[in-house]
Amino acid sequence: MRQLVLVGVLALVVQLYAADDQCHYSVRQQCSSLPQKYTPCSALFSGAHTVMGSLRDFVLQHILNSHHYLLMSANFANYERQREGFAKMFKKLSDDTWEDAIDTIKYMTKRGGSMDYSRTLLESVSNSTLKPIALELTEPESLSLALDMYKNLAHKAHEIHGLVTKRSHNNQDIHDAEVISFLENKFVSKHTEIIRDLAGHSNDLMNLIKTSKKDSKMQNQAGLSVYLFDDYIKNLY
Amino acid sequence: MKVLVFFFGLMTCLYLVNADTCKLSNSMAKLSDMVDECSNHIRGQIQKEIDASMHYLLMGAHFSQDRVNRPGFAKFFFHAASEEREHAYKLMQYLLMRGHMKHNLLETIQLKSVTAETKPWANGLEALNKALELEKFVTNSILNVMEVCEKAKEKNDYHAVDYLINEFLDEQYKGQRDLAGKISELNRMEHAQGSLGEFLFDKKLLKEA
Repeated sequence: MRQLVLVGVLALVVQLYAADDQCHYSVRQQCSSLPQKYTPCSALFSGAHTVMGSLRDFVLQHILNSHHYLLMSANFANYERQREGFAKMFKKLSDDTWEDAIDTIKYMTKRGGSMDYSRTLLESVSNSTLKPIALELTEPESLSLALDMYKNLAHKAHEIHGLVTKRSHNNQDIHDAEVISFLENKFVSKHTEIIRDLAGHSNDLMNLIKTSKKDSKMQNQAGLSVYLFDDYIKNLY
Repeated sequence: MKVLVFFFGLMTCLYLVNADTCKLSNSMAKLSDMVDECSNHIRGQIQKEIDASMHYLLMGAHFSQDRVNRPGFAKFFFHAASEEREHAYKLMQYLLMRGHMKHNLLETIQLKSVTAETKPWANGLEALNKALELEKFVTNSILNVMEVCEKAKEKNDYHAVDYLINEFLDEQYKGQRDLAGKISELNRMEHAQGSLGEFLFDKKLLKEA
């Protein structure tokens, strides 16, 4: 009996720690004649538990960004702006970010995590984003904003990667090869590509605007340049 | 701190891209003949679709957990989440077509109380019942928008109402029928076989498109 209690306490400690060798014990207990409370088996192992909170934030940031891109797309699709290319590009960014959010949720649950998030967490994430900036942006502004939003996401991915990279020797096992692999395959290079593209677009467009004719009475003569650029974007995305 | 740095970077970036010199003059065309009351209600509907989408997203997340392990349900709800988001987009596109989606865009979608009232669902049946409730709520809200657009003081917006009927109500009712059918089925299976019922039903959902 004392052994059983000891094992029980040990199992509890293990569960609090990383819930590793617990399933077999739990199932054996359940199948023994003594009625016991069944503790569900967990898929949690290695260092995944250390980044579940960060992954949750990561998902929320994706969702917020996705909605933001959707509105940016709407901003360029109205009849006054009439920028089909920009609208199309932002819709694509929004769709991609949305899919990534769902994939990340699926990954979290694959690794034994859950997505139940508290309200405070949601608020802390939404406060940290792009709340104060109005959405009625000009073309170059919107590109620069999208670039910064993507950099922010990429930064977060790198941060999470860093959290599970180090394997220490004193049992504080926070290294998780699978999380690293997921982040690397799913996000890291993709983010880099998008960031590079957006930076290129921003600079292209700014150069076009800066060098367009400025000497007449009209405030801005870049109409044709921006139109051509929009057409280029439309064919690109 | 990171946020601050990010924000600072954003500010400098926006500063470099000086807004005034980049602004092009806007069109002179006046397009919209839509009544504000009607378009505002459609905008409100966008938020409701997004809320529903978030609700389904959480349901999907719940059912994909290791201790719940209902991949069929998860797939069904994730799919529903993306569908609701698509609805929000469609409403947006409609307002854009009518020239009523220009100002205060930021207020159109907000991630607010979506998750505050969601609790883990005890089982698949409860989640399906919640989903049906949610769909009914959305349907009622669309009916309400239609009423506003029909009875707006200035004039009856036939086209908006027609669009809502054909593109939205149709799908709502079909979706509700589907959910109700699933509920009866699952209910019977569970009644006869307990948790085996839900297990089998889940595998069936997984096979569905």
